[in-house]
Amino acid sequence: MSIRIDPERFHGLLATREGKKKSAISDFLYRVPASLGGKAPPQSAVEFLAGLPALAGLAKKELCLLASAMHERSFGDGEVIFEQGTPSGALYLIRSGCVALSRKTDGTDGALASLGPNELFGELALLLDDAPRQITATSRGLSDLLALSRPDFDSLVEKSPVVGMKIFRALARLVALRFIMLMEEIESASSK
Amino acid sequence: MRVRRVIIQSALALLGLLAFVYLTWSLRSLIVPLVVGALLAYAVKPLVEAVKRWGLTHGLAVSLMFLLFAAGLGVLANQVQAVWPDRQARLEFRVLALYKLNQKYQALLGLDETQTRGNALYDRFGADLDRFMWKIRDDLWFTPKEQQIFLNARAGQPGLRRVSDQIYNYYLADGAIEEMAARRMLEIAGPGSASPVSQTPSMLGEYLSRLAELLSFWIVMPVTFLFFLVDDGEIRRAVIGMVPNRYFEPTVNVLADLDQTVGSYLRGVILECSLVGVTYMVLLWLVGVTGEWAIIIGLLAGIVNIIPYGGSVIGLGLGLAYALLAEQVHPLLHFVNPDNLWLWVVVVAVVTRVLDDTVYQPMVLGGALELHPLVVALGIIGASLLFGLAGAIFAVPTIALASVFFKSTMRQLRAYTVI
Repeated sequence: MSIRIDPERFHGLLATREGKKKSAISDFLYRVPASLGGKAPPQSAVEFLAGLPALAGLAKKELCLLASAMHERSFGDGEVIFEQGTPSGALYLIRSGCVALSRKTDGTDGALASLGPNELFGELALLLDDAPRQITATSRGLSDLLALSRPDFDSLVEKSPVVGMKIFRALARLVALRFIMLMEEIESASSK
Repeated sequence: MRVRRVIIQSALALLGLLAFVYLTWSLRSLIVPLVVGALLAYAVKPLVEAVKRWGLTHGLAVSLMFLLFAAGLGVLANQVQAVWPDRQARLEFRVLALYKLNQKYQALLGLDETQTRGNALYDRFGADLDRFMWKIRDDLWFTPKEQQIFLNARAGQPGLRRVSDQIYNYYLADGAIEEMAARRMLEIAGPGSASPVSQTPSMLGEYLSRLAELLSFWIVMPVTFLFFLVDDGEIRRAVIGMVPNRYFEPTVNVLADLDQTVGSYLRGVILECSLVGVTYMVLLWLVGVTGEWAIIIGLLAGIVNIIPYGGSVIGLGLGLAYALLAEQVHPLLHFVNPDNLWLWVVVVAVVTRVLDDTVYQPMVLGGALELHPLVVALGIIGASLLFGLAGAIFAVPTIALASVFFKSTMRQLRAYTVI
């Protein structure tokens, strides 16, 4: 049984789930500030991170530490950010642009979701050792991303366990939300 | 069009590579101080991070570390200067060393007073050994200027310490043997092959001037140390920033592998060398080497132990030199005396070697960096030809680093299906 997630439903599901009680993680992941977008003026990484509600608990110094551990990468239209089956090396946060997630099953590519600014993907890289990528991420148009690699994250946790714990918590919530969403998708697919 | 672009890019890359190789070769004297500074900074980085956890900024933490480093260098320089003999003391030491050497040489070959007849060993190899000894004596014996200074000191000239009777007697004995040896060299090799008193500056002087020249290059070491200490990951980020997106994750992983390997290797080697140095210090002191010389020999053996077997060679060589020159020893072990001290120095070197091979290395390095002995030997020879002693010292870590870099790069490129 192959599962296809409709990108619009992907956002809608989470919006419904969070409802009025919008959590920091959903803001962090799915709220798109008006100031951001393709034509937004360039921001420093620290400013960008400071604008994310999920990181509201981090002090300026901690945000600087996190920003110093991240790498700014720019991808062209159609450029593959990472490919299904390759090692998971980094988590990516979208500053501007759009990224399409897809998964190849039985030789056919299936679109999973389309992510925009302030959203992140590739989070399993920070959580699992030697886990291969489960999806392929491709840039749609020009995308500016912030990448947090596993070695940089490990080093960050060593330098500041407090920052590490806050990021771990945010990631755990994200994974939990996606797990719940997946369960609902499976239920929905089974009932059909 | 595409082919032309590839050709132009390849040509530029080749030119860049050639320029890099040319610059590296031209500035090779600076490479070793640069590497030492960078490695020291790397070793100190964890301390900087620890200090930063107390709430200090990076700049303050680096300033503190640099001040400590400068203070440490200052104290070391002061200590070295305090124990470093002055010119007259060095002349007296050379007289003593030459006297002892002549004594041992005579005893070994059973030479008579004329220095021309000896035992069977002398009959068989006398000419070759005399030539070898002549070279050593030439290094130790005085130039006319040095001779004048020595004699002025003996005459009690103001500003100079009076040379003791014992040293002066040694000097006379050295001079007599030097003249006989010169006559012997004339017999062996014919006129013009030997001069009783060296007219050219001694080899020792040349070594010292080369050492001074070398030290001038080492001025860059603290600068490099500070440069790398101030860097808070910017160099790494800049390197990663230049890498195409496709190689971003593999590059980060390779750099992490290198970081981990260099870190554990450096810590392991520093610990191993320290253990070897301390072992030499303690054992040499037990067999009767004076405390200050045991420390000096232990320190040198520990530092040079980064070269495989280097610590053993230095420890044994300096220990034997001490045993040769020692007139009396005060060992904790009652059966050691000046005559058999050399044998105990050999025992110390062997025990330390065995401890290093069987306990220290497995304990601190854990065989993490197993390199083929042939690769190590060729690397050390090549590096010492290019960069001298310091090259030999850093040959093994460099080879280890290159090996990890190559293996990790290949592993990552395969994992990311680049190759």
